[in-house]
Amino acid sequence: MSVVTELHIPGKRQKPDTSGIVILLTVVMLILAPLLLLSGGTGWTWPALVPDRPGGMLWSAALSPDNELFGAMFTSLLLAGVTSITGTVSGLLISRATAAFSNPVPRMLLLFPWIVSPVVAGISMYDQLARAGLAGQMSGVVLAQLAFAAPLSAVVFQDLWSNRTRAMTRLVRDLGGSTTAVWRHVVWPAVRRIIPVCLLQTALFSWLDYGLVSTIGGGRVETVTVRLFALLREGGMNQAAVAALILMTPPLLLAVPLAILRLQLPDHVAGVSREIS
Amino acid sequence: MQHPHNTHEPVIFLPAVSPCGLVLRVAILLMLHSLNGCEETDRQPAAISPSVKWADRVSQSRGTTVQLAMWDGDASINQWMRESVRSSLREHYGIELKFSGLRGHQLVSRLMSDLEANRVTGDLDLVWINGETFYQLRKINALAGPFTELLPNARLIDWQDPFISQDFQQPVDGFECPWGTVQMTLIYNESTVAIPPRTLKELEAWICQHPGRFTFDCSFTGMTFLKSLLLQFSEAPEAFATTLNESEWDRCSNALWSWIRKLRPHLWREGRVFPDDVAQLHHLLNSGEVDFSMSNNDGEVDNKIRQGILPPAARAYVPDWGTIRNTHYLGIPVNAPNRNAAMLVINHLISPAAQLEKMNPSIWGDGTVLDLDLLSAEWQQKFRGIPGRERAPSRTELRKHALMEPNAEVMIRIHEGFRREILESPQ
Amino acid sequence: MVGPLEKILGGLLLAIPALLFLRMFLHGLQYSLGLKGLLQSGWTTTHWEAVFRSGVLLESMALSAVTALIVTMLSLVGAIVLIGTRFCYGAGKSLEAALLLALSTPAIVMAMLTRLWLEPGGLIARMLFWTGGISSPAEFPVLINDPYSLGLILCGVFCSLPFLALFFLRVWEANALHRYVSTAVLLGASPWQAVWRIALPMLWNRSRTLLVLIFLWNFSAWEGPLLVGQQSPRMISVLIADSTGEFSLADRPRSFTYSTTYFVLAAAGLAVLTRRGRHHVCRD
Repeated sequence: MSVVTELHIPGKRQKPDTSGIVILLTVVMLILAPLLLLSGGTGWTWPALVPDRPGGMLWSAALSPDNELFGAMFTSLLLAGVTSITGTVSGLLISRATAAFSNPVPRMLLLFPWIVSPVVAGISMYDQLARAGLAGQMSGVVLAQLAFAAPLSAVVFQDLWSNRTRAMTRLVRDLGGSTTAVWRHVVWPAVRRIIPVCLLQTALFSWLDYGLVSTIGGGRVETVTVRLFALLREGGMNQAAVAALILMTPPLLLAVPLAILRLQLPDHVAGVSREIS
Repeated sequence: MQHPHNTHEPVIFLPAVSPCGLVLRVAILLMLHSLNGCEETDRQPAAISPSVKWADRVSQSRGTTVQLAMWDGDASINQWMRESVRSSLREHYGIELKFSGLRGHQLVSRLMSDLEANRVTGDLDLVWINGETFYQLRKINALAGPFTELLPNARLIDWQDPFISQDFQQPVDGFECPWGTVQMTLIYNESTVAIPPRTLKELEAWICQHPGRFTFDCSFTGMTFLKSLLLQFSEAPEAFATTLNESEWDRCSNALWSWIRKLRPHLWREGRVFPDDVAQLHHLLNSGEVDFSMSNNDGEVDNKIRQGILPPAARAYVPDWGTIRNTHYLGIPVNAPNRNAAMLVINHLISPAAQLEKMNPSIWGDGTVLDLDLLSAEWQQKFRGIPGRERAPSRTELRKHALMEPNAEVMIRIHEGFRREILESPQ
Repeated sequence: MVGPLEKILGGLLLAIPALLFLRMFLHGLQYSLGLKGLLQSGWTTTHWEAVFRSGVLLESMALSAVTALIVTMLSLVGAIVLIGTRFCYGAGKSLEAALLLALSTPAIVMAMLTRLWLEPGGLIARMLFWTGGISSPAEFPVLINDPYSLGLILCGVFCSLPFLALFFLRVWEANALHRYVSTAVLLGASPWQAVWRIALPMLWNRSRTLLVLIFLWNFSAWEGPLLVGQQSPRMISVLIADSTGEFSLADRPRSFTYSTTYFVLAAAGLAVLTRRGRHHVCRD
């Protein structure tokens, strides 16, 4: 079947999505299956395919309130919440302020966190945060993560400030509107759909961060990623598999509904133009 | 000058600079200025006041937290610390014990950064250290003390034992408190290795006859193994004692690197890769990739098998050329926020009860630093009644082949030399 | 368009990361020149000379660049193949679901999984053992911590490919690229020519900035190189992180030499990115 025929004729009965299903099953097998397998017991001596002592003991231990992993989950959630809110609000304000710049320096600053390794940044930032009394504190970790999260969300907001937005702003001001009116009638309608995306993006960044929290946190701020690395150092692959699945839970909670949503949509041929979701 | 895009904006009297840019520039100028003039802050004095009564230290510590930095590469040690030790500290002293996983050199780097940043109050109250870590922390005056004489239980420590009173040839001088003693052992898989090599020549022959089945790690344990080999190449081991003899070091280290290079093609992965740490080496033994592992903890084979980290056929032994015996210690950083509580924790950890529990092979198997002759008859009986090891030699047997740790500088140089001469040099 | 108060607030907020990054760079530079540090004694270029004489940094940068380039190229090819699967074989929404699931896997978990699958005592080796393919782990090929960075490249591709493939899918749909392809076919091009001459160049034009970004991400990668990368030479982030905790205190400035060089490279990469970005800004 040619490319054109597939693309070209709306309503034509489509082939079953066999190859897609094969790819989907492969991804699930490659990623989730080994983690679920290893987390389902203790020990994994060669050449066993399953843990030496199967059982749910590791999961019951991990979800026990006394367990470090349980506490780490709450620390990670708290950090993610604070970083996402402050990062999104800051990003919005930063993007507004830099929108008018033709100077490339602010844009470079905004893109810098996208490419710099958080581990290297954390090691290099430690001195100044220690001098400010923020090393080893949750607030220090939040500040360091904010240095990444705010530019991350600012870049997302940046493309909203188009000529159309400028024209709308001019119109509001010409009609006597204040800054509040601009925000109410121009800015908010433009950003309200993007804000959840930014919140999620920055929250995920914080949730998955290891470099900044391990260096700036000084071992006192224990998140899920810190626990995962500690378990890897212990050589406990089974416990590490549990921590890995817990770490993946929020991204999966986002990806699975999105994936289900895509699967349930009518079988569009790509010939129909749609909003990017 | 008015903004080109909005004629209704207020005029700004700095024509080349927008408000945003102005704020940025001022902030940067302030930052640059502050970089040059970092004020000196008073540090905590290193000395710990002996005039504070122990009872006062106990009462002041109630309801506080102690942050312990420790090597966290052993699941059973971590479990004991997090469960048993933490709950007994909570119960007896109202102290909350928390943990940070840091290796020795990371700890030195962290404390050095703190001192450079004039950080009066740091993150860590207690550090698990020995050897080159202690050496470097003393070099940069990062430890508080002396304090061991202030601990009530310190009188029970066997200070006459040179393995305890000296840390890698340095007198501890009260700046760290002994916590446990260990001796290195090699661990082999009994189902694949009928007779483990006892001499250096036998080891060489075994490695050549079984290519890819032997290796050592790049971390503390592996480097300790290399140290024991270094001592074999020396005709005068005292050259590595208090003062390092440079010519003997050059001769023996060259012999060591040559030995490794000669055997390198027969090592695991042809010596191109070495396990990062002992946990990874245990994993290789468990997964059947190699037939040997090693450990600085002579008593850990039993509990590692129980945890599924080592195969059931794992056995520990000490070769005839001997292995290094040493002590590990607890120290208090100079910027520790809670020195009193740290001292209480140390005192608790060197108590007969804690030492006894730690010595049990099913928990840790770590040797005690206490002089059993100084204990009551009841405690002596308890210590002597500890379950024996099933898969490792007795402590008496081990001690016959115990080598003294060389100078701390040797460990530093071996780490550097291994990276330079082996890892970073082409085969 | 933007009020003065908004500009001031935005500027202040931008100053936070700006200050942090600038100070961290200057701290590292001063340390590497002997101007800071407990054991330092003033201005010196010896650390810089030693670093460039030893070649460790240059090797690390070369390894990082080559690995990142290979990962980027393979991800590009892989994404194009997946697009082809989407439209030639009817792989529909399941493909996107698969990509979303892969995208939700953090780098550290992907590195862990690479080890689990590919190490000589890993899952594939164990399956081969039970099917009679090998009798011991030693017979399994070396795919992680190997001198060709195979495991590391695979890990990087699994991290980058889903992102790129989803981007291509969205670009294809949003720009209705099928219409251009259809038009070309109607005008006499073969389907292959239409895809090769029309669709792929359009995808390429819209993704070049993203490809530079993916290259820079992989250049700076840490988790994958830490778990499955070579021990020597090391990728740049691992080299810097390891060297801050080196055993000899006197060598500590070396780590700041590495980090200063890395930040300069990152800034250079940014200059390329922003220059590219300016050409491709689309505004209403």
